[in-house]
Amino acid sequence: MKSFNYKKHNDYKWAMTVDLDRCDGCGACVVACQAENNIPSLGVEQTQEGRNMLWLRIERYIEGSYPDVKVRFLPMMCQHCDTAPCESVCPVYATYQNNEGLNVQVYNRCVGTRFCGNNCPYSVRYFNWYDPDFEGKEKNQLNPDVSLREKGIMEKCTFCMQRIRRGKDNAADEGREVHDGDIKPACVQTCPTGALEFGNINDHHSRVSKLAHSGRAISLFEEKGTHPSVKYLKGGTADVF
Amino acid sequence: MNNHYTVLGLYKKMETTVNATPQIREAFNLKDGEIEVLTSAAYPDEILIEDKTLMYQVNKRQFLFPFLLGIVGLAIGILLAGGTGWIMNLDVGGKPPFALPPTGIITYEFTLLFAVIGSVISLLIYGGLPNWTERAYDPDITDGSLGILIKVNSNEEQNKAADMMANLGAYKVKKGKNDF
Amino acid sequence: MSSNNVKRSSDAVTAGGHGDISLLPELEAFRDPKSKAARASYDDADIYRDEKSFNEHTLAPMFTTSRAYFVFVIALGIVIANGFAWFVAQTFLGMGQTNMHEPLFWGAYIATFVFWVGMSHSGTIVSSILRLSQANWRRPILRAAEAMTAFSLLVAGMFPLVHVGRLWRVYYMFPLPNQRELWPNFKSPLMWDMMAIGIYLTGSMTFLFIGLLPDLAVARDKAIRENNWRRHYLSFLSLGWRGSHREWSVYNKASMFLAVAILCIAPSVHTIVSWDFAMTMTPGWHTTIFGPYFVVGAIYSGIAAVITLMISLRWIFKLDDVIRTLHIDCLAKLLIVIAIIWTYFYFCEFNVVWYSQKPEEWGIWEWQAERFGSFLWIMVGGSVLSIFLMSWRKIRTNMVAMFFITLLVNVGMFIERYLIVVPILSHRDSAYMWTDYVPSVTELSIIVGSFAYFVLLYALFLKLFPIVTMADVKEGVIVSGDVKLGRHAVRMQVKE
Repeated sequence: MKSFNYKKHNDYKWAMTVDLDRCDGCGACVVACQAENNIPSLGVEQTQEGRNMLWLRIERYIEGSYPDVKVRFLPMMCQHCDTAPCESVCPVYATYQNNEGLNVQVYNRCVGTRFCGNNCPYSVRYFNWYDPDFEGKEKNQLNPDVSLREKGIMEKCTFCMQRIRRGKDNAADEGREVHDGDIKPACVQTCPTGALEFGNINDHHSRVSKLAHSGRAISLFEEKGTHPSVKYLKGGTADVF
Repeated sequence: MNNHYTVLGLYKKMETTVNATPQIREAFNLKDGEIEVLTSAAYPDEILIEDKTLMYQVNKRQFLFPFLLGIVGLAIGILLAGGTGWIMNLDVGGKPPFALPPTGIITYEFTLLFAVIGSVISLLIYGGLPNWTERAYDPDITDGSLGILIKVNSNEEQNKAADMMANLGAYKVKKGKNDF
Repeated sequence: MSSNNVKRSSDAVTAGGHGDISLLPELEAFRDPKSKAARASYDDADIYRDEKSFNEHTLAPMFTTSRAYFVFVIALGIVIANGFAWFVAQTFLGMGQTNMHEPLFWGAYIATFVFWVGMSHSGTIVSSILRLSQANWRRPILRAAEAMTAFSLLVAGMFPLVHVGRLWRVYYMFPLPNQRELWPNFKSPLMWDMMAIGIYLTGSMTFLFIGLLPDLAVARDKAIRENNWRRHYLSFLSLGWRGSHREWSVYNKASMFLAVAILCIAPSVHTIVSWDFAMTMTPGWHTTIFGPYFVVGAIYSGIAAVITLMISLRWIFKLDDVIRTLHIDCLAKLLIVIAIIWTYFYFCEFNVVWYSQKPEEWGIWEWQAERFGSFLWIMVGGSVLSIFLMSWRKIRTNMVAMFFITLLVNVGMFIERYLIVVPILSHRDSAYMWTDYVPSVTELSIIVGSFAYFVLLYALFLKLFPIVTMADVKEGVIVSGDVKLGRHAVRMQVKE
């Protein structure tokens, strides 16, 4: 099933693959995401409250018991579902599907009912419980391409929307389509093991398309029928640690 | 018929009132709407007074407003839920721009809202409310007295009617002008 | 309500073969306090010595105010001011003042919201059902029940405002035409919810006001006679009501129509509230039973609240002869039926999940039993116990017992709403995000404030408007009478 807008042909549909065999849980992507997207660090107290605003988080699952213990890592970010449950429940259209397969969050439109967060099975939507507080030098390293979010609104991974824009602009300046590898979200750029891939899944020659159509690709909570744009390449053969 | 005179006779007992109304009506040849009975509670129709216009026209027409406004509400519901979705045409969760179930829900609610408003409007129009002007009335009525209120054209008729009401058992008769 | 004429009903009696009955003298009997009908104990005739003293008696709670009342109102005001202060702080500082956190985006506020919407459900439903079914015992208590609906809805309507992150942008949710052609998303259950609650509030306020009209006139006449300050707003609000035949006839038709309309709106409202939950794909919420389950739950808690309220009114304002044991008894019987249905629904919900043991759904129950076990027992136990206890007439007619039983029912129903929101959101699909939640001081203060707000609204209403449905009682006395059937005098009622 394709969502309504996909009856039209679109040049781009952005997607990401996460190679679970390659991920070693180093957390570089998390830091990169935080720096790129002006995500405030909330400090000890708020983190203990469970309000750590990580657009991209690494979930750790521990299997077995000592001494035979395995740790599995699952990088979790907004899955940019084709039929996203979060979108339809928003009373003010603050989140909707754009025609490049992205699940867009319109910060200025959001009133903060937080219904979207309740309907997201991946729990990847975050709420600004307080105004973001960037102190001292943190202010100087804010990304000018990304807006700061006020208290009381929802936010989430955008697949680094600003980088997608820039990539498309550059391509348009040179009068060409976006090549595979032109656009790299912060996490993909930073990942030391190359576990993350990003690209246009409508381009059948792109790496992401090939990986997403390989036998290893799975979607999280596939039974929910959300049709995520993020595919996980299942592993299980290689034991980390 | 700009100028009219009114007589309000107050009765203690229902029996006397029931007895008096047809006589007064006949004596002054009053049409529907020129004679009224003021009471503190709803009496079953046609016990106190026979008002054919009310029975067969007003009470039927009273449902016209809720009905018409209900249709307006229906249209507004469809336009709001379906129409604005069509104009905005944003893809949310793969739902079509004109989705039937949500439209149905909103339409149902709006139909009922407008029908409720319509019933209030028809209550006000057909009940002759609100009317904050000084009108023929006596506070005894809410304490259980029954009042016969009639509208006549001349002063002589007014005096005659007042006498007649008193003869028919009214313990208090009030005369007035232009305050039916 | 006297839509059908008397002739027809007397015809019906005649058709029964009991000879000719002339009704008018029988009706007249009610003006005579010594008549048998006036002494009959099962209806309103026994408070109805004569109309003037009846008016005085039923308007007494409105026109006489004790010092304790002012102390009470000030105490309520303090509790509300406390809640409001926390609310202002929350608005300026941010929603972080609550204890909600990812992924538990809805907490005690929404639970309380559902509770108040539920409370609003019995007032008008009971009132319309009783009106339409012409249950004669309904007459004096309608107003008290309808007012409860209107005020609990007002309180409920406050909670979405307390809950949203950006209160100052809440008008984005209204369908206002604007130059950007931005409209709200009518595909969102929250929009349905907002519309339904707004419409229910309009409808129940209208219902309350239309029902008030004749009684406002009574109060107006008294206020004018006594030169009371209430005469100003009473003359305005009573719209110049004179009680003419035409007004009564039109009024009866209109209130009948409104009763039907309210009966159509009310169940849809709580169904839609349940869809705020059921329309999501969150396990534990996404069930088809939620619609009827919520409606029944709402009526259940609502009727219990009506009883609690009636007993309090009766005790505080000495209205024992207006709100009689009979009323509590009848309402309690209604409550038993609804309690049985509710318990059945609860069992259905549990049994299905328990049997299939689908991990994502059964996991929530285990989580819930582990953390909220005692709450679960209070809720289910309370409901079962109340059915058991109320089966005895002795208990149904014991006001103290009924007061505590209905209070227990509503404590159970508050817990139920809390357990629908909290354990399910703290046990979402993503196991990494499982969490715990306890409401913060901010949340508790605002919730306690909301209860005080409801009581305050009701207390103010009592002093500004007549609380007993006087016109209905009078009508009941008029349309019923002793009718001779053969050798016996039988209490009959003219079909309204």
